[in-house]
Amino acid sequence: MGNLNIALGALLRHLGCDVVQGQKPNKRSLEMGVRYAPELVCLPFKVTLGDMFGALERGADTLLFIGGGDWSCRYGYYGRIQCSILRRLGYEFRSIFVGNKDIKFVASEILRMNSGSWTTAIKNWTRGFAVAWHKSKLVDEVESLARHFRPHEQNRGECARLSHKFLKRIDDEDRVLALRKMKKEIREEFCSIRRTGQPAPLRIMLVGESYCVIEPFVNFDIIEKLGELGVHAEPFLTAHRWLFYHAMRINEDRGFPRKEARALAQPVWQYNAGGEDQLSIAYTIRAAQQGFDGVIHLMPFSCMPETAALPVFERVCRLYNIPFLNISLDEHTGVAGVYTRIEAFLDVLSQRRARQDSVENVYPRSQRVAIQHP
Amino acid sequence: MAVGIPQALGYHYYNPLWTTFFRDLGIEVVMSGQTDRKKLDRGINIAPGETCLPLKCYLGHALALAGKTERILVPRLVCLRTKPAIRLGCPKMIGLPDMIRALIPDASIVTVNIDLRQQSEEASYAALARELGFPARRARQAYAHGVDVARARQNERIALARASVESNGRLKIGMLGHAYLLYDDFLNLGLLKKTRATGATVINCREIEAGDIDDGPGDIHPLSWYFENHVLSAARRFCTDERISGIVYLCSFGCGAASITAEVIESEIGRGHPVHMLKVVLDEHTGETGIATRIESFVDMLNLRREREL
Repeated sequence: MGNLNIALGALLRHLGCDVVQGQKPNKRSLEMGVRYAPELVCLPFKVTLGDMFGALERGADTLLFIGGGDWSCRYGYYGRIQCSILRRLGYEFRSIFVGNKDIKFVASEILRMNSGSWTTAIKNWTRGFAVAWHKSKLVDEVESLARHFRPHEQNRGECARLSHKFLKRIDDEDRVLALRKMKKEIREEFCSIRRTGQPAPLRIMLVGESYCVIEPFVNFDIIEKLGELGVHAEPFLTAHRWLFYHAMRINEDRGFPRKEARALAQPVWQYNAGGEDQLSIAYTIRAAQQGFDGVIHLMPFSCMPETAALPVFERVCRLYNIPFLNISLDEHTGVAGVYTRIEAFLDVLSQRRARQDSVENVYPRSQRVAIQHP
Repeated sequence: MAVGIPQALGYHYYNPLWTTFFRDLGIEVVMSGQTDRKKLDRGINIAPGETCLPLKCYLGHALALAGKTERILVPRLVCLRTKPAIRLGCPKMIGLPDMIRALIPDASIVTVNIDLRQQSEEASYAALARELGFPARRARQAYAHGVDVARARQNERIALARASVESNGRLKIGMLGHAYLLYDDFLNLGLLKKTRATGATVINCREIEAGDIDDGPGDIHPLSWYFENHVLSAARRFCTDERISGIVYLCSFGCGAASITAEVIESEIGRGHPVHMLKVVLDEHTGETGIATRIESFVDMLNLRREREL
């Protein structure tokens, strides 16, 4: 998912695993996933299943699943069902589930990999965690800078080139100190990109299902595409925040803690229904409050929580007067269709921006925050 | 005061409880009536395209009540069991009142929030009564009465079903699926009637004592969805019962839980117990004839197999 492999790979290498650096999700993994997954299951299931075929063929003997447990969304069952599908097809591997339940088992596995010594295990874990943490933060930084500068770059592709270069360097570097030093360099290089004089690009908030927002393969690289069109796209969740929240409950939503987000969304969506739906709704409201120009909602076709929340997104966007585009993705979604819709949406937004003053008069800001508490 | 109850989704699980509860409190109950073409079409018109058929049907029922009654009961089923493990409703059950508020803004709704992690079911109903202006003591009495009536009804159904399983001769087919599909003859396009018309006996999965799958000597990892777990345990009952010749699994297109449940039934429960399963996926475009043909051929196949064995 996104650039998650960099941090996670580092952590596992430090714990003594041989990490099979799987390929990024690609057309073949999608094909394999679609062929062997249940027909009506959601897209992330199919893509990740397909990735596992790739990893197993490249020599992996253990598959690590993050998540699982008591979820009301299908994500909680991914690992288990994928395991049984792969086993039925004759693949042999060991499976480890990192979730709420099997902490003991995971700990014993870590111990085993460190030749049974707790001291080594704890030492390696601390070190691995530190390296992974720094890498992950740095990747997040690179992604955020690229998002920020891409709409302004004079030579198209400059940001992509820089982020590619730095991501490679982050992946290869294993010393915490060097990683820390790299941060400054990254900032400087991104700041020295030659910029056009475009004053204020359109700003769009991307909300929805985490995999669809984060993984460029399934959302047709929407962040980069929007950037190239001169639009600043801000995802509500990044790989870094997803990983540390779901695997370790470390909350990295700086400036907008989950508690606050929950309180903001609760009047319209009382419970989190399984995915990141409540957080998404909160970020939608916040986008409107912060003056974003529009919201794009990405979800896999038939996603349980996002489908249920869809009417609520529409209601919130009506109330707060912010344009909203829902894109539902599955294996049949074509890139041209998605891009056409996005371009049409951008046309609407820029026209709207042009008459912003009159809009401000028709819908005064005071009327926008009129949600009734149930 | 009158409270409207849409006869869809949760109604089919909680039926006599709700009506008894409100009548005991002295509140008039207005039912939305059986599902028909008009209700379903109105629901389809306002529902987001990707939602499942039962939800579209629910919206139709809620719309039919929206002009008629002051209040509509829209339940929120979050956590339906805490021991031995947490069992949840599906996301649309968790967000139902919020969806209704978003899609039918002029309906005034009351909700009963069933989240056993926070409070008992009884306390939830007491909170509902308090919202309507009734004291907690009367609410508790009404709730207890409602539970009794519901249990008596369920026991009747179970006794009937047991009698038909034990009867001799005819082919027996187990029906799996959600109560809101199995008990709604319009939504399931008369699937149960059609099966009976072929001469087979139908055993409804809501009418066997299956219990949560945790209770049995299970080798299967349970699911966290409460209603799906029931389907799973019923499926295992059907598989291990030699008197049952085949299973029909009824689900709706766009039901996220069904895609996982079907996979678990096929791969884990079906393993070791050779059983014939017909999976019927319903949506608003499903034709009655198609269903009839599939059921007839399934029953024919089971009959042929049975003759060969005899």
